[in-house]
Amino acid sequence: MDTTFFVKALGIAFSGVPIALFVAAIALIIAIPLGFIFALLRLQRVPVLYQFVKIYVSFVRGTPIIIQIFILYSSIPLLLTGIFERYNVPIEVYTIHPLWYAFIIFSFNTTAILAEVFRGALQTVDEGQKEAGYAVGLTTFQVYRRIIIPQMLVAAMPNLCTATVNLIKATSLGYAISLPEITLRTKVAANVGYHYVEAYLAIFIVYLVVCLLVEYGFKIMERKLRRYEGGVIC
Amino acid sequence: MLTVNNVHKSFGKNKILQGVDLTVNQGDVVVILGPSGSGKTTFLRCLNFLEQADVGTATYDNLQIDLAKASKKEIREVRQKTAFVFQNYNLFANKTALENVTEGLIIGRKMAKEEANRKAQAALTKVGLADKMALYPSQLSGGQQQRVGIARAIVLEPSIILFDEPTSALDPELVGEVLDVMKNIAKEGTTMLVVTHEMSFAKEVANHVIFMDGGHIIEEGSADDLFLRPQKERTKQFLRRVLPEEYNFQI
Repeated sequence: MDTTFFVKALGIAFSGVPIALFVAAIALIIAIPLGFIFALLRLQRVPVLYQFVKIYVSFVRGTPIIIQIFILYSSIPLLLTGIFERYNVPIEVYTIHPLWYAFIIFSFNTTAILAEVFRGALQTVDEGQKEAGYAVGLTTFQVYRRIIIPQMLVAAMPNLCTATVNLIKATSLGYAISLPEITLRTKVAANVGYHYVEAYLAIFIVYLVVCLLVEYGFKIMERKLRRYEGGVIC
Repeated sequence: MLTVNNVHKSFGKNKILQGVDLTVNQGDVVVILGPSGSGKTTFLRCLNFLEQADVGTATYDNLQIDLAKASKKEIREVRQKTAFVFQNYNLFANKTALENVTEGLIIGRKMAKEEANRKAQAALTKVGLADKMALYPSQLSGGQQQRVGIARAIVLEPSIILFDEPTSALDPELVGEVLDVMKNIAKEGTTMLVVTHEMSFAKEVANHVIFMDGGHIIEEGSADDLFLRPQKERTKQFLRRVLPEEYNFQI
């Protein structure tokens, strides 16, 4: 065990944290509203779209992320080349930064996961809450915004936390598309002197620390959201 | 104040309402009685568009509406004129008692926050919950929750309040506090349409009692008429089962 390299590897691994978190954050920003809309489409059984969401969710859940990455990473350039050539867009497809692919891939994946998380959470909110909102003169949008979503979020929190942590860990697969995140950076550094054990241990620790912090953040948020459930407040 | 004509409603092949008519005058307390499944709750829900009737018209004050195909705007207007008290209270779980009452004022009616708070405090005081305003529904008893539900309705100053079995989900010993509040607001001249199983409330407060069964109004009249001199066999049968023995109606 080369301690000097291990310390160095820790530093390198940590330097990949911003990019990993950035990808995860963008994926969540896209997936949260989209997943919520998909959950509503499923619950309201909107024809055609409802079937589409169902198939999409089974597709994402039933395949390994690494395969989704390979499929999207190899098909998107082909698709884009065709489009760019037709409309004369002067962009060389193979110079597109892998970050863009990471956004697409992880949003694609997380949206499906969150659609299911929100579907389950929405079902925990009693139908009477909606009726009471309508009865005091709220519009559908206001009912969702002020009554349903705050309650739905409480139920969604534990699964949302799991999904976020899974997403952060899944960004390690970004190394397959040469995304310079935690895993790739450290592995590259380890290649030089074959310090793989130290490198993997460093990566292990960095993910663990990041995920623990995220979990802790969710715990605080959940406690705040849950404040209306029992217990004397004032 | 409220006139309803020929309301029909089916769920699938199940005919729940088969032509119900009703007139409620300003200041009336109208009680609808009937066995479970007689359609009385569905009827009440149709009046506030929580269910959409298949056929039927209604006039709220001067607003005439086709219950079967009202526009979104009309539905909102009706909901501005009416308030609804639910069997399961349906208080907003994520809001305090005070916020439950102000929600319709501030968000539904765009009232300024201070004014809404003032009105809500007055309404909550009226139902005897001046000291519980900051509590969440989960911290209140069933009776207290239902009283918040009533405050949430009266604060809107609606033309009519619709009560859907407001005491059916309560522990027997909590029924009294809710009925007392309802009697008080009835005395103030609030127009009320009440679906209930509380015969004592019907007897003491109602000036018009309706007996429904199988989606029809079987019989209606003053409380005395209906309880002491029922005309229809079905009404007599029902009363025999639910009324305390002190009522000695003739058979």
